[in-house]
Amino acid sequence: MTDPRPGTDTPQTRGPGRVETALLRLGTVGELMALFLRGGRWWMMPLVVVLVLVSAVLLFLQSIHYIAPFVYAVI
Amino acid sequence: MGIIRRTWIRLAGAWAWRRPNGPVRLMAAFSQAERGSSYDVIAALERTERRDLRRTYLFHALDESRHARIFRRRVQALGRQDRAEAALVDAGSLRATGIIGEAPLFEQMGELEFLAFVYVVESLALEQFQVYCDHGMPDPDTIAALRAIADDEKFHISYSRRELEKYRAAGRGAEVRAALFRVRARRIWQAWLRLSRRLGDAVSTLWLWALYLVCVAPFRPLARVEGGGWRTRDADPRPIAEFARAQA
Amino acid sequence: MAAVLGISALYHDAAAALIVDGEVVAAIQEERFTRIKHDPSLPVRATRWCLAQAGIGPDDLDHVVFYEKPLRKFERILHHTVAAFPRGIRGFPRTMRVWLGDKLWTRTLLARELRIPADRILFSEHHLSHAASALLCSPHRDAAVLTIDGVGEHATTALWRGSAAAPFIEPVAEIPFPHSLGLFYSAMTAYLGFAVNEGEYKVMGMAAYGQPRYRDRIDRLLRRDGRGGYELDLDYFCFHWHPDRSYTDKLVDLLGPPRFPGTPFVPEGVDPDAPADLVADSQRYADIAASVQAALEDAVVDLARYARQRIDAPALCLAGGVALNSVANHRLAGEGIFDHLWIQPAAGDAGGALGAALWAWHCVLGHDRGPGLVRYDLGRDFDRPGTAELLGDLQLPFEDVLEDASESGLAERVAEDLAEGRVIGWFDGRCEYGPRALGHRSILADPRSAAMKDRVNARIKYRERFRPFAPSILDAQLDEWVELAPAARDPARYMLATPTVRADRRQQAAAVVHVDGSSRVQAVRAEDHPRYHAVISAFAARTGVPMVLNTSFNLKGDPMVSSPAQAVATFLGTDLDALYVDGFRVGRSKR
Repeated sequence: MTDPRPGTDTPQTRGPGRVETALLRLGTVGELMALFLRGGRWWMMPLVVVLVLVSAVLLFLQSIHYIAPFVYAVI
Repeated sequence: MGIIRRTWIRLAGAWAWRRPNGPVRLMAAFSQAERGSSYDVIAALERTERRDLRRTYLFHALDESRHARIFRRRVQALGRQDRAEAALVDAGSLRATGIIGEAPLFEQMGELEFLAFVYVVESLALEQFQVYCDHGMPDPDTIAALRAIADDEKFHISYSRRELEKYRAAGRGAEVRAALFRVRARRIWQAWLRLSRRLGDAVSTLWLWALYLVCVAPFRPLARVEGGGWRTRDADPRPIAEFARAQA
Repeated sequence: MAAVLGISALYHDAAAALIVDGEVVAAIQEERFTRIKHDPSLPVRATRWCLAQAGIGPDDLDHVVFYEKPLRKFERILHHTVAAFPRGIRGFPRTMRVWLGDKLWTRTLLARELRIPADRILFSEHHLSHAASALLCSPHRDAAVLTIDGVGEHATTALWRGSAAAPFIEPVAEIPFPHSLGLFYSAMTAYLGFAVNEGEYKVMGMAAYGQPRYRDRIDRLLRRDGRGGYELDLDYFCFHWHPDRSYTDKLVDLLGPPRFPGTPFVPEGVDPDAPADLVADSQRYADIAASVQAALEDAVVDLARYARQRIDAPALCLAGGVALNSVANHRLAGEGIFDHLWIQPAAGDAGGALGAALWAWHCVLGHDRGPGLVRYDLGRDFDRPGTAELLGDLQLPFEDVLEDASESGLAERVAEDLAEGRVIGWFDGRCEYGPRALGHRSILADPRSAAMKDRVNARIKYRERFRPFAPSILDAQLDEWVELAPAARDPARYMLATPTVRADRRQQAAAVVHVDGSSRVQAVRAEDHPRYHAVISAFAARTGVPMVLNTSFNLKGDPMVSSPAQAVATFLGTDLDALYVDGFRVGRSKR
């Protein structure tokens, strides 16, 4: 997702790199799991896991520029 | 090219005008597009280095915002439909339809390409309006509105063509050609994005429905909606620094 | 130097607010840049401008504070998705696309788009941000703080205890989703044919034409529990599971068919020539609006009584979208539950950016309280030489009144224009933070004749005839004109209270008195806006009426103008007679 959009050719400093982004997302997943485990909604964990997996596939495909528009169609 | 394009406009137009609620939806979409253009042209006026062009851009912007109002009145005259009216005020839709990008077009394109864009888009709009009117697709009042607007579009086409000619005369013909190419290529790319996004949305709706039926159903008995009224709430037990960092 | 940036985004009104060394140096909504009303997208341009205004870069920020906790919100949404099975199937795909593709990864999004290290990002809570934006901007230390809006993470209404020492704000109680006063009012806004998040003001305006004849039925939808709280009957609402609708057919059975958007509104006694069935329909909708408004007011008063019961403090601070209901605010002020009322002018989600930044600055970083909100013009301004160049390039006839005639001459000239019946665009200095035009991006007119209201509605703003206008009135003369509840004095500074105009004065300010005799005043003090104060004073000296009609400088459906070029385009696209931009007076030219 660090690719610039088509049509924007202004040079910009980049945000976090791919590795850092992946780590940040892992951290978020951890927080999300902890939230459900800690609160009274632990029974929703299986659903959360499925959704996180779906999201992971989705983000991976989004990162490939030319497939991006088709993401939802392929998976 | 011309004939193919006109045929395409005619076929697509026949569908667009005749589908349920078609005229209202078209007028609403046109109104939005004109409003978006008006913003973009004002942004060009603010950013341009060509101070001699500022007044022209101003009149262009005024035309666009007047057109937006004309189309909006057509929406109201043609039918008071929930969705069409909602579409007019829907905050996100301008961006979602790609009418307004993250940055004003002028910032993305620069002067020359912006002028090329005006030329290409206004020419296409003019042609589109003419085909609609020639084949009597809209009602008579809308035809009158489209014809009045078409006169303004001619002004936009002529000034942008004149400016592009000036660039050509100054020996920058290759740049003009490249800009026109980029504008046309981008339009095709954006059409592709819109189409694939729509297709993707449709497909994903199907599999997300499946997911909903399979994965959500089993948990239904466990979930219940709380009643209203006040609940006492204690402060979060975490130290404030930790609480502040947490997304949950 | 220490700097904290607050961000609200991804729901409604995105905004950025920047605090440098304890001072709020800049705050602005993203819509002022993108021209998309209520633009919810990440406020990239607003952020860039805030940083430029302070002369710093992203690396200089100690913290960026997002105004809510995204994962808690996701938890609520998922829970209600499950609870709504199988009805929730319609909304599920759209919700999941947005959340799984984007919103769940807010931290990554912020780091990437704003180009800041992820470890500097903090997350407040939705209602905590609102509470901070009210309490920490107010002059009060010990106070009850009520935040009432659509929904945040889980809460829709929350009560907080404000104190003089850290942690400054502590939670006391809350009311959970989907029981929401804000969403109740929004659902009724949709029923009455207006756009949600946009037409709520119109419901308030419409209510004045009716009587609460439907009150018993509305009380079935919104039940006050007698203990200070309320509950919605969820059989009538579907905003918690339907993607496009907010009320069910059962509500239609109860109240009759909903009003189609754009239907003319002609209640009894307005137009003798209107068809009888249209008048009857309009009156029914006006009565429903009046009943909804009355029910909301009673619920808000209940909440405040509960707050007073739990927290023994003389002041109440308010924020959240419902706090923009100026009629309810004045009613609350008049109940005498609290001695003082302070309401955040940017009470909607945009204000969450400011609140999040203030919360981090004081509550997380431990800085002492300052004087509160000193100014509300925290947005973008433009330099005069650039404006002069622009006006010259556009070949518009203009004169530099400020240069030629000084401040007092400028005020005199504007007063002359107004007194002679001209309607002017008034663009002055930095734009306001929040939804109201308070004399920086305003359209001004003579408030004395009722015909002026119709002219501005029809030919300048292109909006419905029934909608009222508000006056900006000199604070010193406020009590001579309106019956203001003492506790509403502060809210009146920010156009957040609607008192009744004294009966013997109504004729003198016919354009700004609503059909029920009320008026949403802005009490202008010299220290808040000296130039604007001078203009109204000059108008008062000429006419004996110490107020001007003030409405936001925009067309229907557009956000307020934010730059001189936009002001010029709006001016030329409407029936405005003159435009003032930072002391330049612009006239019309032929094409």
